[in-house]
Amino acid sequence: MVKKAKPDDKKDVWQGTLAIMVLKTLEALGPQHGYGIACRIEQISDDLLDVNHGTLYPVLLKLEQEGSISSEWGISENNRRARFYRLTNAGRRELRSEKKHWQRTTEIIARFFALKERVR
Amino acid sequence: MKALRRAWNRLAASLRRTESRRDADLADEFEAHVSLLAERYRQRGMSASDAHRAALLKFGGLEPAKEKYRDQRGIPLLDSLRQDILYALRGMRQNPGFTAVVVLCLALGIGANAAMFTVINSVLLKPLPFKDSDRLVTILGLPRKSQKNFWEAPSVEAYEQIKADTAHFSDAVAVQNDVVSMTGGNEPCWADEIEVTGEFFPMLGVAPLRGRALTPTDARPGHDTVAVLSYKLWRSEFGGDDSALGKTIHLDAKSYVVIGVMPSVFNFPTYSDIWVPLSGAGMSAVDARRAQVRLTALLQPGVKLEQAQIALDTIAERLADSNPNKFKGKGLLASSVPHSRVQSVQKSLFLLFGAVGFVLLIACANVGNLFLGQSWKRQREFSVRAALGASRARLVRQLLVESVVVALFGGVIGIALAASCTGIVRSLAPVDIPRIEQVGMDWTVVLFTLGAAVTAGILFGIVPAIQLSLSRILPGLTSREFSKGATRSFAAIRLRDLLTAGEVALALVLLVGSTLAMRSFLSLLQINLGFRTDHLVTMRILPPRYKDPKGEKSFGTELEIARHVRALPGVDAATIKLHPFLAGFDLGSNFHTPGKPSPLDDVRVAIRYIDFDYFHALSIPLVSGRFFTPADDSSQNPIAIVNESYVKQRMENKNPLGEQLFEKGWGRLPDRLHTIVGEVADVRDEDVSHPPVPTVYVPFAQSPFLNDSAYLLVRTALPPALMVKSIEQQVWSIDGDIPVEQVETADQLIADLLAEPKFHALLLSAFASIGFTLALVGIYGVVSYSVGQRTREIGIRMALGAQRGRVLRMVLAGGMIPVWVGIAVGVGAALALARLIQSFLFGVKPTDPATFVAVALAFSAAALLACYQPARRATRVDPVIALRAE
Repeated sequence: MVKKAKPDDKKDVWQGTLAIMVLKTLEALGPQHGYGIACRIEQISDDLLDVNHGTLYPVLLKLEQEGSISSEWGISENNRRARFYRLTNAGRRELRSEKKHWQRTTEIIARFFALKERVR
Repeated sequence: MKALRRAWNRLAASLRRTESRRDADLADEFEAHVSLLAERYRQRGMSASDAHRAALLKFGGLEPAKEKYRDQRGIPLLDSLRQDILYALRGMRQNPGFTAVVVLCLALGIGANAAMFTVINSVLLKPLPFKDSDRLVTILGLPRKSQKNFWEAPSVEAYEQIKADTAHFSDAVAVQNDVVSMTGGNEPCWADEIEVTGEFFPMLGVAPLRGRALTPTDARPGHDTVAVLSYKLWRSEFGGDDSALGKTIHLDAKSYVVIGVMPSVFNFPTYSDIWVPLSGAGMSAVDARRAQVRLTALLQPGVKLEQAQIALDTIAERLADSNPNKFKGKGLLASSVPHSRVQSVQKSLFLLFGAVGFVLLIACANVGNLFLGQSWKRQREFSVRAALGASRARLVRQLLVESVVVALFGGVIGIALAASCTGIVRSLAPVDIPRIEQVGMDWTVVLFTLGAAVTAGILFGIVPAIQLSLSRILPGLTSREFSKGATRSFAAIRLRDLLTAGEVALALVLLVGSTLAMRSFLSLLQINLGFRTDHLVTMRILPPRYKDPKGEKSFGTELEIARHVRALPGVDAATIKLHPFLAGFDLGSNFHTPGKPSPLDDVRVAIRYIDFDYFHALSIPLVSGRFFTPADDSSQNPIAIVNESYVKQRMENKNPLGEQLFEKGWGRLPDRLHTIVGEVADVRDEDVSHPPVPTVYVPFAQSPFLNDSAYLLVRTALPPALMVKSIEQQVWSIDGDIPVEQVETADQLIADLLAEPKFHALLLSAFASIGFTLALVGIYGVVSYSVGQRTREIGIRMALGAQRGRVLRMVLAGGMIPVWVGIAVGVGAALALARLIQSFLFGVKPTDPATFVAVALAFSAAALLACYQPARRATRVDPVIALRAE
């Protein structure tokens, strides 16, 4: 087994962030295969988020294991066998609560940054 | 919740689909993704190959992505375990010869253990079929507190005191065995009866098969005419019909109503046909008769046997204080029921179990050695895997998985072996092992065996694993060093020698033990019993005393039977003995020389109540005086014949003729004086292994009491089997209702007595031969392997001028040194363990020097032979070829 360069906690944060993006993408676009999800994330983030597409799959797996998304096999645009992911009801609930949680977190962080500037 | 769900899905994924199938899906998904990416790049104007490369780059490489994905997919430990198992199975298939040897070794070792455990499980481990059977104790009365070998019935007073001591005993019941005549069934018959107090069945908590069991109300006077039947009697006398309930039967002319039937497995405290209430009044009557009442008590939860014994001692003291005349010096003795039922065989079974454990250890050491050899051959494979990133822990785990898989194969075959052997073990086992007829396989045995297999697998798998962790893995890759076979680490060689020495030591202990057991058995076979055992047949007869209106016991019937049988053509002699023949100590009065202390205090004296033809029937020689004659009956003054041991040990070798013997009255019987009329030679007519004890013979007609049965002994001119029918006819010509049972020849009785030493000798020999063979195979394997490894070294030595003889000696010494170390250790261990088998041996000391020397020499010789063949091969190494092989 190859040792991972990134420490695990950082990886978790990254996976968590990516997971929210995946859920939001599926909510907006409906069932998508991995490539579609990756393109959408790149598109929304204006290519700022330059990621290896391969890193998306462990996230998809984790979401599926948690029951937030489900998958089935279908045919891609270029006629290949591909797996399509779909948001489940549990995933919808998860997304709502993540959204709330994320907004609160950013609000708090933003307030802290504002505070710092005033002191200076 | 989310985490739980995820864990469950991962576990399910691990179990549901195969790794390869899931990998194929993953590959499809990734390739679809990459091809879509490539399409995008192509549309931006890249060439097809550039686009594909760019797509792969963007994806981040297929393989690392898959690897990361796999880590999260199932449960990696479970997945790799499955991989290891499949890999192990493939390895076994590729190397069928090696696998067969290993599995066979283990199957022998594990199978022997499973067979022995089957016996132990049924006889010792399964609880008795009663409620709280581990809290049941039997309480016996001791006529003298200091002498624990002489028992009597506990008194009514003791019984009441025990019942009152609720701090220690939650309940106590009295039981008394009897034999009664029964009418009311199909035919008049004799039945074994047990009288029990009312709490007997509630205390044991055994449900009746039909109707109801006895309750405390049934024991009240006036209500006590109810009886519970055994399953056997119910089937034989009432056809197993429910109509038996409510029927009236007569037991010794007293009428009872049948109220229930017990299940067939119920036989407590001994086998019985009928249970009837023993009322309080009955208890006192029993006490007066001093019959064989036994007490069984249920200890309070948490009370230990020792605490119960202290409580009993207190009760005995209290009784002695209140009534010194009756109770002074008397004691009470508690023994645990499950314990006393199996006590006699426990030690012997554990000894055999220990022996069989040695066999398994030898098999493990052997297989460990084989695996060690194998793992050298696989050094390259391990090095490659290590170079590819397998951690050492992962490799060690794989070795362990392989050995456990192999061991489980051995275990399954072992179970099959054991299942086919239990029949043999059961038929070999002495009849007096309790519950031996119930010996059989069950889930406990299967689980035990699989557990043993896994343990064995880890045990012998540890060896190559240790070797692996000791050795440097990477050098194996450089093919030069690999082919030279020069990477044998010093530690690993010591490990092999250590294993060889260990298995030799274990096998030697087994061999010594089995040789001692065999010699002991053979010396038992050669014992001169002092009487002729051939053409001698014995049978139990039960004269129908119930026909006598007064219930008076008379000696007439037995003596008449003997007379009638004696008159048969083909019968040389016929005699009556009050007690069973060759069945141990006969219960009788205490005899001693007037003025001498009672034999209770020092030497044991055996009493035989026998008809005059006894000495003739057994061909016991007369030393002086005369034999008994038919005229020596109850109308004459009491006489006696003593044996040589009695004269030697009790009479200081004085001429016994005309001397007086004092007979202490049994119970309420009067004391008597006997005149000695003869002296006969010592014979072992009590037990084979016991040396003759001082014995007093008294004419049957002068016996102070009679039992319900007596034993007919007949010496026949023709083979006894041909005579049994006519003997029975002769008995029935007197009274057709006299049951004749337990027809056995003296030779059969002796064979039964020798069954236990034979069982030990045969089983130990079987275990020892398995262990010995395994050890020899192991020695041979190690030496052949080391010769193979050292081919080049030997070639160099020979090229440098070493003689063939020297090479031979070198290889032999290399093989034999661990063997000799093992023999030395084994001799030490066998001496240390000698104490354990002391009580099983007869006529041979557990430290018998001849046995030790012979076994050690034989072992050395056999090991030398095992080493010789590979050593010869070493001398035929052609130096040129050996060196050129480089």
